[in-house]
Amino acid sequence: MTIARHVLFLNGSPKPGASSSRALGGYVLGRLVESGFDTASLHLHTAVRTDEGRQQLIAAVDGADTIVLASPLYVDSLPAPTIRALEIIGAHRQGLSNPTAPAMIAIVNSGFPEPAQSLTALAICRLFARASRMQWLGGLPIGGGGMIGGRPVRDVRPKLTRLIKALDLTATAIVERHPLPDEVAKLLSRPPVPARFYSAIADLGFRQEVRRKGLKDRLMNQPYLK
Amino acid sequence: MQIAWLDGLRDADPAAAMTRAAIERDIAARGWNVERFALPELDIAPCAGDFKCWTDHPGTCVIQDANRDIARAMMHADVLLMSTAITFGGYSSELKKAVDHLVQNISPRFTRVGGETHHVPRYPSYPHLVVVGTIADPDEDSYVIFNTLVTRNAINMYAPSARAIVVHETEPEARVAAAIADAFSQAGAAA
Repeated sequence: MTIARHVLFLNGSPKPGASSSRALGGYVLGRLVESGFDTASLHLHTAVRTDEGRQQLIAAVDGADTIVLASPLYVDSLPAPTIRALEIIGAHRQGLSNPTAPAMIAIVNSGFPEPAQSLTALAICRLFARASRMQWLGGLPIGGGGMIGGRPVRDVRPKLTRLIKALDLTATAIVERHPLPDEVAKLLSRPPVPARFYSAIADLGFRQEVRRKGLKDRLMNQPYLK
Repeated sequence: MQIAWLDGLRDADPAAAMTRAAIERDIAARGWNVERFALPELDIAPCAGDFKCWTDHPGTCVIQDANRDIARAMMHADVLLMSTAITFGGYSSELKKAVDHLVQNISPRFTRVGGETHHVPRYPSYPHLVVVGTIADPDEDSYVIFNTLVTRNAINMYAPSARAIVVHETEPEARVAAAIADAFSQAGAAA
């Protein structure tokens, strides 16, 4: 059994601080630290802005045994700066004559309750791994990302039992360098809470926020109506 | 007919010049009006994911750059045309930097569409969607993902119709022109 020792977390959230992507990736990283892994993290939206950041990104990927990418879902795909980071990594690695073959997993969390809405973005991650000559271990589609809201996954209430189990199984798969077991997909196949309940709560939250800002009558503004 | 064209093709992308020329010829032949955004030349700040276009000034992104012009052009168009190099099956970062901001044109409220949760439309109608992706080599995985992505975008953008066209680097120009003409004819007939 090959044990990967160094894992690189690529944070695809636009937020450099607390975010659901960081919470999800951070949970997996925490489990890997318990298994003796060294870890490093990069905030992709910051890294792609400068030449120095882009070079650091490439060097960090080349030095990693395992890549963990966690990103929010943006319009059925990854956010533009996250895609830019993948383009940079892919172009670099396609030019290497004898690249390393790090393992990769991706976590995509969506504000919609249905996990399946993240599957297209995960398919993009899978093709990136193939093009970049990485070993694709699998992807985790996470629905109801708004429930996490940037908090540590263990602190979320109601408790995200199935998600935590899926993340634990993911950490184990990384340690053993095996594809994610089918159980991960099963655990994540349903919304964390009923979709209609999630939507009602989220809807209420947005309406309360605009009311608090004195914009109640402008929620459905149409500034670009023809 | 009014077209908003989000042109994410870089000159160095596969089949970029041929694809762009075929699009321009077809639009000119039809006499349609086009507002083209050459995205690689535009400095558009990334979507910050702060939802301020939903909660602080609903319908408008807080960032004052070309993203607002693009969002306006989309809502004034009959057809939203997007062109991109296919990148790992999806859109390139050049196109995506504009697409990410289009959420200002929908509302934060939730509804059910086709058994799934989606946002409530902000406007009474939305443009038809045509997306042209270019790729160096034929790749079945990329086609499937690209087609799925365009279909998914059409649901979230409330496009009355959607068409994905894939152009290979080695494809005969006449076939590219025919595919684009067919997509525009369908969108034009439906608009």
